Amino acid sequence: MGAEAPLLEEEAAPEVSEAKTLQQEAPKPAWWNRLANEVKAERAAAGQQTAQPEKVKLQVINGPTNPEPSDVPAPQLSVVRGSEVKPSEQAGVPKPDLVSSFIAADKASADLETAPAASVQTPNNLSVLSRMQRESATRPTEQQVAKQLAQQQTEQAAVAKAAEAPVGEAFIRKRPDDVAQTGGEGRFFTTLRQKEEDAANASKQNQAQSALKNAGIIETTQKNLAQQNAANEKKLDDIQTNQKLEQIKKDQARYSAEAATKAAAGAAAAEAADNVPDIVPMTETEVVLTQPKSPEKQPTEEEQRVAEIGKLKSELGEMLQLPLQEIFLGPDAAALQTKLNEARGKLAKLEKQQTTLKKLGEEESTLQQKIAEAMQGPDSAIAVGKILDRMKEIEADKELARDPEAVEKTRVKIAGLKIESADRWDDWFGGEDRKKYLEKRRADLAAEEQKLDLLLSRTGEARPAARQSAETGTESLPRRQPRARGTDTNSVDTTSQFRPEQMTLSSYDRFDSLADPLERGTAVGEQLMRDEMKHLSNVEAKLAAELDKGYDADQNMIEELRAERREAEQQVDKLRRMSPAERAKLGERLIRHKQQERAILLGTDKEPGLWGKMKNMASWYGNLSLPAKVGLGVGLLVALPALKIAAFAGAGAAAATAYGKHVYNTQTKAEADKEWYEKDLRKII
Amino acid sequence: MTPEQLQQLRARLVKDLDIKDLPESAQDLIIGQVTSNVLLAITRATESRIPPALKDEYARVQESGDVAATQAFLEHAIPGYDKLVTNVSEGVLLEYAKQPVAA
Repeated sequence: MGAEAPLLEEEAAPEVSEAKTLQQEAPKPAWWNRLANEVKAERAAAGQQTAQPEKVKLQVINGPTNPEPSDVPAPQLSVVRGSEVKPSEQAGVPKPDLVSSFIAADKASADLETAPAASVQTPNNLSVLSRMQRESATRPTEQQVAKQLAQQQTEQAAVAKAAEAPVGEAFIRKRPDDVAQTGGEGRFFTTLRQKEEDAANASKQNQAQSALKNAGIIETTQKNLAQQNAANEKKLDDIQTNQKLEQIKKDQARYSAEAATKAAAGAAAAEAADNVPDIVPMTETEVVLTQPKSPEKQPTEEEQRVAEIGKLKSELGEMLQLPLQEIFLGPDAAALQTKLNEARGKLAKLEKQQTTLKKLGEEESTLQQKIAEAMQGPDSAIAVGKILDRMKEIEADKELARDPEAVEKTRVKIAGLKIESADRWDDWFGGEDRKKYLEKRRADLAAEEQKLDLLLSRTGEARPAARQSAETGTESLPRRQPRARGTDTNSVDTTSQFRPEQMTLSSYDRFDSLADPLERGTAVGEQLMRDEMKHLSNVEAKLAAELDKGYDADQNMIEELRAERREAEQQVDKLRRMSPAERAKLGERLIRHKQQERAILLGTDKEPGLWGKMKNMASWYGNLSLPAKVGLGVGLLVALPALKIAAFAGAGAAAATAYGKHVYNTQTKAEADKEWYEKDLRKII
Repeated sequence: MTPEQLQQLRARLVKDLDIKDLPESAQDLIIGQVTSNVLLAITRATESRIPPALKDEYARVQESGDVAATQAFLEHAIPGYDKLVTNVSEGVLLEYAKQPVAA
C-alpha cells in the first residue's frame, strides 16, 4: 500500500494522476464510493470549492510537527473521481467481481489504519477514516463473502445450464436486450423467472393431466357402478317378478278353490231346491209377520259424494300398495296406470266439487239467515232482493260445480225448446191442448234462457279480481251486467233466432184488441223496440261471456258477436230515432204480416202432410239471419226465377230440423248462416 | 248478381211494398216477413198440386236436400210450375202492399 502514499499528499498535483491510476487498478467497493460521495456532498454543502482548496490547519499526529500552517489545497480524493469514471473509460477493463471489490476495500482500509500518522492527514481525512472504520465494523466478513461467492457461482452455473437448455436458448435469442427490458435485472434473473414460470406452467400441465386422469378414473368408476346397479336392479326385478308370479299362482289357486266351493254349494242348493215339495204347508208358527220395510233413507247428494270419495281413496290406496315395478313394468302396467290415473282424476274432481259445494252451501245458509234479518230492516225489499240475487248466483255456481257441462247442456235444451216453440201454427190450428202445451214449452224456454244467462254470467276464467259484495259480505266474481231488458218475456231472444218478426201470434194477439190502427201500431212498435233492446242485451252478454274466457276465447265468435252487436245497436238506434208515426206504421206492418201468414196457413192442417212441411219450411226460414232473409226475399220477389228459389225452399224445408240441430250442435248460428249464405244462396242469386 | 244490382232490386221492392218512408232496418224487417209469407204460399201451392202418385217420390227428393233434383222434379210433376210460382209470389206481394196501413 506504500504506492498509495502520494494519495494522501494531496498538495502535489502530479500525485493525483497516480491516485487515479491506483483507483483504476484497484477499484473501490460500493460502500467506499458511497462514503466518498457523502464527503463530496458535505463539502459542496459547506461551500467548499474543489477548484479552490480550502486552507486547513495540519495537525501532526505521532510525527514531526509542522509549526507553520500549510495553505495546501484540500485533498481531491481520487475515490470521488474514480466513481465518476464513465463506462467508456472502462472499456477493456474487466468488471471486478464482488469478492475482489471487498478484498480491495478491506485492504485499503487496513492500509489507512496502519499508515504513519505523519503521512496523513487533514481533519476531513480523519473524519473519513473514522467513518470508514465504523463502516468496516458492519461490512461483510470473509465468511460471508465466501458464502456470497459460492451462491454467485451456483447462480452462474444455473444460468449456464439454463442457457444450454433449449428453452433458455430460445429465450435468450428472442430477448437479446432483456437487460434493458427487465429494468436492469439482466438475462440471468429474467431467465430464472422464465424458468420459474416454465416450472409453474409445467406444474399446471401436470395438475391438469392429473385431473383429466382422475376424471377418467371417476368416469370409469361411475360406469362400473352404473353397470353394477343395473345388474342389481335386474336381479331385484327378477326376484320381484318371481314373487309376483308366485302370488298370482297362489291367487289363481285360491280363486279356483273358491269357485269350486261356490259351484259345489250352488249345485247342492239347486239339488236341495229340486227336492223341495212344490207346496209346503205352513203352520201358524211358521208365519212370520214381516213389517213393511220403512223406505230406506236415500243418501243425500253430499253423502253420496263423500262415500264415493272414500271409495276412491280406498281403491287408490290399494293400488298404491302394489310394487312400483308392477305398476310401471308389469304385464298389466298400462291398464294399472290408466286405472290409477282415472281414479286420481275422479278423486280430484270430486274433492274439488265437494269443497266448492260445501263452501257455497255454507254461504247459502248464511244468506238465508240474513234474509230474515233484512226483512226486519229498512229497505227490506231491496235488501232481500239483493240477497236473493246472490242466492241465484250461488245456485248457478252449484250447478256448474256439479256439472261443468251445464252451460252446453242448457244450450242444447234451449235449442230444442226453441224449435218446438216456434210452432206458431199450433197456436191457431193445434187446438186448446196443443196451445197449452206450447205455452208451457215457451215458459220452459224462457226459464232455461234465464238460467243460461245466469250460468254464463258465472263462468269465464279470465275475470278481473274478485270484488267484495257490500250487501252480503261475501265474495263474488265480478261479472258484466247485461243491459236493462224488456219486460216482456213472451219473445225471449237469446240467440237472435227469435227476432221480432218471429214473435208468436199470441204476443200480437195482445194488441188485436186495440181497435185504433195507430194505437195498435204504436203498441206493436214499442214492443218491437223492447225486443230489439233485449236482443242487444243478449248479444252483449254473450260477447262479455266470450271475452271473459280470456285466452280460451274464440276470436271468430268474438268478431261475429261484435258485428251482431253493432247491427243490434244500429237497429235500436234506428228504432229510437223513429217518429211515433213511423213506429206505428212499422207496428201495423208487423200485424199485417201476421194476418197474411194466418190466411196462407188456413186450411193447411186439413191436408195430409202439408202441415208438417209448412212447419219445416217456416222453421228453416226462421233460422236464417235477417240479411239472408232479405237477400232471399229480393231474389224471390223481384228478379230471379222464383221457381228455382221455390225448389230450394222446398228442399230446405225438409232439412229444416237438421239445420236447426246443425246450428246448435256444431257451430254458431252466425257461422251456419254465413255458410248457408255463401254456399247455397249464392248459387241461386 | 252484384251487390249494386241487389241494392237496386231491393229499392224496387221497398217501393212496391210502400215502406220507403221507414228506416232501412224496418224495411229489412218487413222484407223478411213478406218473404216468409211468400215461401209459405209457394210451398202450399206446390204441395197441393203434386199428384198423389208422386208424393212419395217428392218426399224422397226433398229429403235429399238436392235443390237441382227438387227443381227438376217440380217442373216435371207440375205443369207450368214456373208460372205458378211467379203468380203466387206476386199475389202475396200485392196483397201485402194493398193492406190498409195505419197513419
